Amino acid sequence: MLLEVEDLHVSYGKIAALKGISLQVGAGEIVALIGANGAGKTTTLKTLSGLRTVAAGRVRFRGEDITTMPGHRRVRLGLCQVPEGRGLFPGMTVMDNLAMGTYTRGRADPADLQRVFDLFPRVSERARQAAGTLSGGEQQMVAIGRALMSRPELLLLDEPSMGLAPKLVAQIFSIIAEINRQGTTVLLVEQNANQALGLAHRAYVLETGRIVVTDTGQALLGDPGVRAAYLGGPPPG
Amino acid sequence: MSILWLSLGFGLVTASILALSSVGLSLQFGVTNYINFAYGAFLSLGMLLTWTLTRPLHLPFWLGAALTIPICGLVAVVVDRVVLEPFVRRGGNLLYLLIVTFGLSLILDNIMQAAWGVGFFRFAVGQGADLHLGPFQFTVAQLVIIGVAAAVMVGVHLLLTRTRLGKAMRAMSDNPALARVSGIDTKRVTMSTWFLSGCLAGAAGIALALNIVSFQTTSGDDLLFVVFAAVILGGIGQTYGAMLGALVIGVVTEVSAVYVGSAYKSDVAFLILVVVLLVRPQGLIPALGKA
Repeated sequence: MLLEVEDLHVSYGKIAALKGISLQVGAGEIVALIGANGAGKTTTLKTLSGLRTVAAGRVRFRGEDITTMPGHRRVRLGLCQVPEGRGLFPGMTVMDNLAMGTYTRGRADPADLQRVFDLFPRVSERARQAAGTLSGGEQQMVAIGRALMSRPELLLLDEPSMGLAPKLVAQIFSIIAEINRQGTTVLLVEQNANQALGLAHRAYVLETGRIVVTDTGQALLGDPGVRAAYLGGPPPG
Repeated sequence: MSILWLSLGFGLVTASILALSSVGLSLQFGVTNYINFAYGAFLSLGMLLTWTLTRPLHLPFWLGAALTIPICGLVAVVVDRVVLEPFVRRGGNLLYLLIVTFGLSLILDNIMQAAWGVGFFRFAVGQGADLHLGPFQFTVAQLVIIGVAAAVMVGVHLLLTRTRLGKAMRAMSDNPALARVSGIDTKRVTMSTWFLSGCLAGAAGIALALNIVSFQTTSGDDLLFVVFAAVILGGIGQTYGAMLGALVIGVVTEVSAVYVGSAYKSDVAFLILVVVLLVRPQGLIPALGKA
């Protein structure tokens, strides 16, 4: 297993946000984490990237225990997060944003840059512009591009569809599938459960800090309980 | 007409002192996202340390100044680690931090007053001869101040655009959480920023003392609100904005002194600030990332 999370507890002061979460992500998978607002999806990702301290439990990445490792050192191991909302540096140019992806390695490799431009042709057209002036969809592309520049083994995506028009959502999701085909493992947090389950090999459903169901994406798409709670009712027909 | 040129020259000197101090304040604000009211104390510390090293301890002036600047940087790092960082770690309520730095400023002022006394101080070096450059007239000390400030601004520009530390500082100022998940050691960058901020405050204090000739332990605080005006005018946390704000405030206040009297210099600085903010609330150079 690339990532193993064991009985993870995280609290904000006295409020427990995660009450013992266990999950695994295997190399090459797309795994989705779905659930309502406040279920602990973002907290889980923040804890994995080292922005939240762990109260109890264990996180192992590529066999190494990273539970207490500072966030900035996890990037070097190949764990890279695209945070929720604007996952970029709005005052810096698109090019500088992409370069920040290779901060831990030094200079950007032209091949990595070419890969990002191939995935997101729009990004190359905007290379000299300040990232904050881009449209929402373009910003999300730069954010994912920045993460790819760090050559992640595991890409943590927090709500990549947030605030995007349906057409753009479909585009971003097909690009996530392409990134995965090229060999990057993906852990995806989404409110847009329909899209996420359609894309993911496996998924976990979070409810108030606990994992309540886990199965393949397809099975969860057909699960009546999941449909009622997260997908807006029973399947048509 | 010649009085106008003369005051324009003074304006450049004041702008240079303001630029040194406002860039230091602005860099620290950008990275840590809270205002440091104790910044004026670091200006005073710069003056007083240089005075001690060069008067009672008889070091040459350049050496005293060169030693003072990194000492101020180190003191800033210690103050951050010991006093401010514990509050930041506890959740970093910005209002608490504002009050903490305000209290810190009172504490530092009183420590300096206890250590150096309440009298007036002056450096052993004077202003030097008057030099005429075209329509301008500067003393040697004033030319050195302008030259040093210009060199430091170029240095800060190169730091921010060409170095890893500078990129990390810009990244933290733009999006601190993303900076951390990008692999930036935010603790180290924060400490480096405080060091730099302290160094710039120390240098600005020495420049201010050279320019006003006689100073006391509160002279740094006297300038602080004009520094705030320059920083806010430029756009809070925007380093290049702070340089521009310093230039505008420095030149306009000195030139206005010809017409309305020098007692109203600070009033003019704030009048500019109020008028500009009414028209452009985001400052001259708005930040894309900052709220």
